[in-house]
Order: sequence, then C-alpha cells, then structure tokens
Amino acid sequence: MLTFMGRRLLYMVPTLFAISLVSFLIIQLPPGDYITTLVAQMENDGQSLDAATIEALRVRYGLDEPFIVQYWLWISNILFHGDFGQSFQWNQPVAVLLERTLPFTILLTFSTLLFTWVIAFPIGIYSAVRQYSPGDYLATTIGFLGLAIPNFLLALGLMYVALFFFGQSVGGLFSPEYETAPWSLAKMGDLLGHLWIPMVVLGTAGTAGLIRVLRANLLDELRKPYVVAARSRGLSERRILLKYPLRVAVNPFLSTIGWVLPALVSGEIIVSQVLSLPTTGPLLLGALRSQDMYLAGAVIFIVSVLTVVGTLLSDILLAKLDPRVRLGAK
Amino acid sequence: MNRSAKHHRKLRHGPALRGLALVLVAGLVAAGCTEADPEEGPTATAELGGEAPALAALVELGDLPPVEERMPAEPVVVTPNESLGQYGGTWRTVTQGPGDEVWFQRTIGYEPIVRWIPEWTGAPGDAEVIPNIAESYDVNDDGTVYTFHLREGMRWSDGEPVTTADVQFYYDLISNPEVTGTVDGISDAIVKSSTGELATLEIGDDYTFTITFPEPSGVFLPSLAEGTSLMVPRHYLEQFLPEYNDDIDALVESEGFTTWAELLAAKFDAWTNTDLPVLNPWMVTEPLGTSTAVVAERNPYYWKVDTEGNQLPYIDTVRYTVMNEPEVMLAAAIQGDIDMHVRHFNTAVNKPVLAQAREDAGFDFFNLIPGLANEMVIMLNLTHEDPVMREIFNNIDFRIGLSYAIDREEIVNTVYQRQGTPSQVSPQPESPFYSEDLSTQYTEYDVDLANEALDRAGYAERDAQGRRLGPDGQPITFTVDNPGQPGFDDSLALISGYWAEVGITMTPNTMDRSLYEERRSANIPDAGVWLAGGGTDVVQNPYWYLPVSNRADYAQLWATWYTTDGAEGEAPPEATQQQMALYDELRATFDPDRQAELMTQILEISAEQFYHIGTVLPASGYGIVSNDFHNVPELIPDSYRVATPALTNPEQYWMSQ
Repeated sequence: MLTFMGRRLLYMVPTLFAISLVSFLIIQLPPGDYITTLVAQMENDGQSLDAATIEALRVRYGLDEPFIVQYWLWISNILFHGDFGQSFQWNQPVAVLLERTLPFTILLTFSTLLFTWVIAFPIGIYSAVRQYSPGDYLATTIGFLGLAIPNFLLALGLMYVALFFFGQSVGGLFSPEYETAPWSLAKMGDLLGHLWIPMVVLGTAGTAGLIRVLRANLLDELRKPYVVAARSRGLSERRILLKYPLRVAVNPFLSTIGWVLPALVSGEIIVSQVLSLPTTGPLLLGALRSQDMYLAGAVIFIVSVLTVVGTLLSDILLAKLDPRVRLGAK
Repeated sequence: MNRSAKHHRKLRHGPALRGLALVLVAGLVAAGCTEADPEEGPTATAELGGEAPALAALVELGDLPPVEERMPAEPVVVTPNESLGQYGGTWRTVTQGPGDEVWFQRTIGYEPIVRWIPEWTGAPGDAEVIPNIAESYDVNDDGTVYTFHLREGMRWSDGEPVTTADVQFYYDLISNPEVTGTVDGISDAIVKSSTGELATLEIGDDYTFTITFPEPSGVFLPSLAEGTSLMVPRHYLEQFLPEYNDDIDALVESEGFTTWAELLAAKFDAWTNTDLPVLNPWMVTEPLGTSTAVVAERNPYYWKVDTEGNQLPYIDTVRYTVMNEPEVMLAAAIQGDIDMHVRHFNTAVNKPVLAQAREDAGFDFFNLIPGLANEMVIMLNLTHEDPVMREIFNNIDFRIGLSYAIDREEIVNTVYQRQGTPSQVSPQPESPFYSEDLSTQYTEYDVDLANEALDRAGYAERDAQGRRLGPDGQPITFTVDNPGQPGFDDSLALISGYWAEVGITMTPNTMDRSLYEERRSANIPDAGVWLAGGGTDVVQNPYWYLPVSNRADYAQLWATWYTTDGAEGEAPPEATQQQMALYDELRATFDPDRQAELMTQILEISAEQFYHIGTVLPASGYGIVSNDFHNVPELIPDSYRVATPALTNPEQYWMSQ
C-alpha cells in the first residue's frame, strides 16, 4: 500500500508541471493582455492613456517579456516563495484573494457533494430494489429533469422564488445585515438560508447521474449468484443488500471523488456569477475576461492540484474498498 | 478687463447670502409641503444640531474632537438641491467589483481641488469651474500662473491637517519615474504643458502654492475639475517610499509584494485600503474584495456644510452590493433594493421593465443629458495600408454616398426603441457647440442622392451582380470591425443591407473587444465602429472631430503623426493640419471666448472634411431614485468627465427616516 501511494505521489509531479504550463499558455493565447483590457475599460469610461504610460504599465507588470520568461517568473515564485504573484485587476496579492474565496468554494462544494449523496443514495437504492415501480419512474423523471435543465436557468428560477416568495435579498451568501457582522449562530443560520439555492442548483445534475449509476450497478449485483445464495440462507433482505451488493455498487461514488471538485468548481462559475457568490468562480471568470493572468493561472492551478489530490484520495479509498485494485497495483 | 479679479473667487457664507438661501429653502419647503404627503415632505429639518447624532455621541464620550475643531474655519457651503436634509440612512447601490471602481469615484470619490458646477454644460474655459479643496484661486491674465489658497484647519479623514506639504509630496511622486503613470491616480499628465514640460510648483506657505506653466494653458483648470486633487496624504504614504523608510524592503516583503512601487499602488487605493486617509464625504470601511459588499461610512472630518452650517454628508452609510451581472442588478432594482443609481442597467431596453416596477418598488426616474455624440460611428480607415482602399475611403463623395444610403429612422425605430435622432457625430443640442448643419448633413435617406454621389465619386461602373467597381476594376467590398457593443450588430446588419442596394458590399466582422483593440492600434481594419464621445464634453473630448488621439480610428496614422510631433505616422492633409494648429492654439489659450471660437472653427472644418459616418444621436438617459431619497436633481449631465452623479454633490442627498 505504501509503495502504491509513493508511486502515485511521484506521478503527480510531472502531471502538475504539465498542467501549470498548459494553463499558463492557454491564458496567454488570446490576443492582447491585461493592459489592453485596462485601456479598453478606461476608454469606455471616457479616459485615455498615452502611449508612454501604457508602455510603463507593461514594463511594470512584466508583460513586455516573452512567454517563457513570464512563465518562469510565475512558477518559480510559487515553488520557491509560495508567492502566487499580483492580481493586476485587484491590485492585491493573489494569495489574499484566494484566502477569501477558497473557503466559501470548499464549503459550497462539500455541502453540494453531501446534498447529492444524501439524495442520490436512498433514491438509487430504492430505484434498483423496486425497479419499474411508480416510485422508480417518479424518481427517474425528476432526476432527468434536474439533469436537463441548465444550471443557470435553475439558479434564476430559484432566485425568483427566493425573491418573491421569501423576500430574500438577491444574490450573495448573506443578508446585508450579516454581511460584515462577526460569526455567530444567527449568521450561520443566515448563511444556510442562502446556501440552499446554489446547493440545489449545483446538486441536481450530479444527483441524477449518480442515481442512474447506483441503480444500474445495484441491479447487476442483485442478480448475482452470491445474492441468491445469501437469500436462500435466510438472511434478511436489508442485510443482504447492505452487506455486499451495495458495497460493490458504491465503487463509482468513490472513484469519481477526484472529478467532483473540478466539476463543481467549473459548474459553479456560471451559477456563482448569476447569484453573485463570493467564491473562486466569478474570480476566475473576471480574471480570464480581463486577462489578469497570474490570478487566472493561480485559480486554474489550484483547482488542478485539488483534482490530482482528489484522484489520489479516491484511489486510496478504492484500494481499501476493493482488493482487486490493490492487487492490480502490484 | 481684469482677469485676476474675475477669476478670484471666494465662497464665503456671509449673513446676506445665508439669509437669502434660508428664504429660498423655506419657500421650497413650503411648496413641497402643500403638494406632497406630509409624511414624505421635507419637514422637521430645521434643528439638525450641526452634526450627525452618532458623531455627537462620540464627541460626548471624548473620542472625537468637537465639530468646530474638525472642520476648516471656512468650510465649503453646499446649497441643497431642494431642501435641507436629515441625518441618517444607508444609500443602497450596486457595483460589479474590480474594474468598476469608476462607480465609487463617481459617487463618493469626486473631491478635486476645483470642481464643476452641478449645471455643467461643457462650456469652454473655466466658466463652469468653482473652488473645492482650494478655498480660492488666482490666475494671471494669460493663464500661465495659478495660485491656489487652501482652507485653514481642513483635515484628512484621520484628523491630520491638510497643508501644502501634501501638494509638495504629490509633486515629488509625479516627478518620480518609478511612480508616475504606473500608480493609479498619480500622473503628471495634468501639469504637463503642451510641449511636454512639467509646470513648476512653488510653495508659498502652509496654505498657498503656485503652479507656473512655461506657456499659457487653456485646459489646466477644466482638467483639474475632472477629478484631480493635486495632493496626497503625506503623513500616511511616506512609510511606503524608500526615501522616508529605511526598512522599506522588510515592509514590502511582509505585505507580500515584490517592489515598493507595487506596495505603494496597493496602499494608494482608497477602495481596497481602508487605512488611506481621504477627503471624501464617506470613507470605505469594508473594502472591495473582503465580502460581497463595499461599505463606506461618513467621514467625521468632512469639510462641507449645508446652508445652515450643519456638517455634511446627511447620509450615514453608502453600501455597494457586489453583483456580477447587470440582469441581477435589474432584479434588485425591481425589488426596490437600490436607492439611487445611474449605471450598468439604465439602458433603453430596460426602461419599460423599470417603468412598470417603479410604483411597487417605490422609485422614480430622473433624466441624464447624454455625453455621447453618437450611438455608433462608422469609421472608414482613411490611412489604410492598401492604396486602393485608401483611395476609395478618402474620396469624400464616396463617404457622402454611403451616408445618404442609410435609413437612420429605421435604425432608431428598430434598434434603439424609438429613442434618439438620426445624426452625424455632433454635439448634443444642450451643448453650446451644437450646430444643426454638422448634425444633419447627409443624414436624409435618399437612394437616388446616394447613387448620384457614388457615381460622382467615380465608381459608376458596375459588374454583372450590380456591384460598383473600384479604381482597380474590382468590386468595392470591405469589412467593418465590430467589437459588439449593444446595438452594433443589429445596426450593422441593417446598414450592410442598405449599402448593398447602392452596390457596395460591406461585411460586419464581429469580434472580442481585446482583438478589436489590438487590430485598431495596429492600423489593420478596413473600418471600425464605436460609440462617439464629445456630445457635451466637446472641448475636453475633441478627438471625434479631429485626429489627435489614438481613439481616432478613422485615421490612426494621422493621429500618431500629431501625438509624436511628426516623428511617426503620416502627415495629414492641409485642412486637418489646420485643425491641429487650431487645437494647439486652443490648448494654449486661457480666454474662454477665444477657446469657443477656436473649437467652433475646428468643428466647421470637421463638418467639411466629413471624416466618418454617424448614425444616431442618443436620446436622454435616465437613472433611478427611490421615493424617500431626496435632493437628486431632475436633470443631470452624464459624462465620465464630470463624474455623474457626483457633480451634483451626493453629500447633500438625504433619506426620509
């Protein structure tokens, strides 16, 4: 098990290097740079910058250097100093911005994950055990609806409901009165009152998928001879179900943990943008729009790291759960 | 005429003036009470007690000096727009976050050394400029020597005095090549003469300083009024400069920056750094980026009073909720969550939606005088790299023909919701520079006239498909770069159709804004479209009438020739050079009447040259204001250059409690 983990950790190094290079390259690909955006923005507002100032700004931000120099500056600062550089647009260190938004992103991601599992698990089991029952059809229909409706549309719909039926303020994770208040039970309650919208929006699509996967896997397992044997020995249905078939069927839940994070973070962008949530999603979108490359690079890089770590995590869990994975590793 | 006497202005609230204001206000109050609901009317405002109750309580506790000690001996007296106000309330508004700092500047950040009057029209010279941070200013006859007198006892928001040391420090910063131009808000552009020399600063005493230009400057005072304070809080900023702080490297390191200039830039940002002392009516307490709102609280050391001597601002708090999407802002407005706003969602398209919601949500509209000279100007590239294209585009009859071929009425009706008038790029009717000729020439839709002009241009021959042939015998076809602003796509689709009717093939080329910027600055496009400025800010924003800035996409190379003093680019034709000479003279002329004359001449030549093709002059815009939010004028000029709505003194806005 230790060598398995050691080798996996070693693989991560070149993977991360490649990811960082590619993500930085992609950010640099569109024409223009942050200064182009800045000039455009200022001209939108009626100001204009002279050529000398524009040049001075390019030099200050290091944008006059070739790509590889810019990349090296960026990655070496991260590696050797833990410094993610400056966000041009925010005029602040990237690390400070991430410190503010990452906790909310993680909170949102995990509460969504929890929501997805809590819903998908019982429904998936029910649908498999009571295949083709009215309940199965109902759950499946709702699941597919959740999968089919675009997230942003659902977000708008729920926001409308929150606005006109519950009189909640538009957007954000807090009501104005709690926004700047210190943490308290009341503030927690206010947070939960707002959190359900993005949680439901982000969770619905994933829920439908997991229900189908669990249902299919369980159906496979339930027909296997070992289940028949257990049943003939007089084990209770509940015990039969929970002891073995479910354990096998749960495999896809664990093996996709690694993908949940990036999927939620990327799916979260549009939803957070619409709902004005203080998460990394809108931060990334804004950075990409204005070609704020160090900020965009940092967000993509961190999400990538989380993905790689998540994959490692799911591999370890799988190895624990399923001996075949462990053996195959040898 | 004695110029110095004319331009020496002092705002003193003598008993006579005060009495007059009181009568006026009383009249307004009485008028307001007779028609309005007594609950809503501006009543019970006579006894304000001179300062906000929260501040009075702090004084009581000994945490704050008394109000007389916090304000200058001669505070600025702001005459309320309609009525005296009450203290209290939170002005709820919205922002898109970083990149939208301009909305902070335009609401709570407009405190220049001299400022615009609220009824600004864009008249030339300093006719509409009044003292602000400066108590008064003197100018010599030819506009080279400007002496400013500061207010004794005026303080920064942390209680430190404002003196000429702060001006000297600002001057030191702009003279420092590591700072100027790269730290937002610190620029030497304002004190540069037209020859590029820096004007000299001379400190008289703690409250007097003089700025001397090597040659007359006709634009100095108006440029200052656009928002420059000429001073920074020295006592706070010194710690971020190597000259004053020996441990600067340690500080830069511990704050997470790489150079001291970066650190200074971050610390000199009033929207993200709450420690920066300011002169604004409200100071940011919850900065941009920490949560989903930016909050600004009243500045206890604010240096303006109402006509009764009560310290302003009336409103306690300004709260900007960060909303990324204008559609979400619209939802918040419909819900009644926004008290006063003039940005992001106040478009022609949204007006019916807001109009329908205003009764339930409890707000109403006020009008904005648009600052734009055109919703969309089509700029054929007169300095095109391809000689054939250049020959065609420079043919004025060709441009006239294209202009006649556009059905502007239809564009107004279908694209702009029947709002606006067919027009070339032209000053707005409210502007002193409005000229009917310039505005309406070649704007009637007449296919016959169009064909006539195009024939006259020498492109009468056509191919089998009816396309006119250019000088090289090829059909005339070109693309128009379109950076996709609202309305551009629809207008260009219509225009492409109109031009096909007269045998000209035009293809819109829609692209991302960044790509558009890259292409236009490299002089690549055949043609481009953009919103034309200079509708009211004609003198301040003249490059829509002559190519003197790189914003002039109709002739990038001529503009480059002008901005580089002939070193790069290409020499423009005689008439354009004459315009540039007039513009140089305007910049060096202090006399407003002479400035107006020169600008009018520039506009006349612009009309003759007919550089580009305008479409629609925008109709008046609008903002929203909640029913319990008072003292917002009915009509506000809308332009970046006047910081709409800050030129109407937001510190005198008040909310019924």
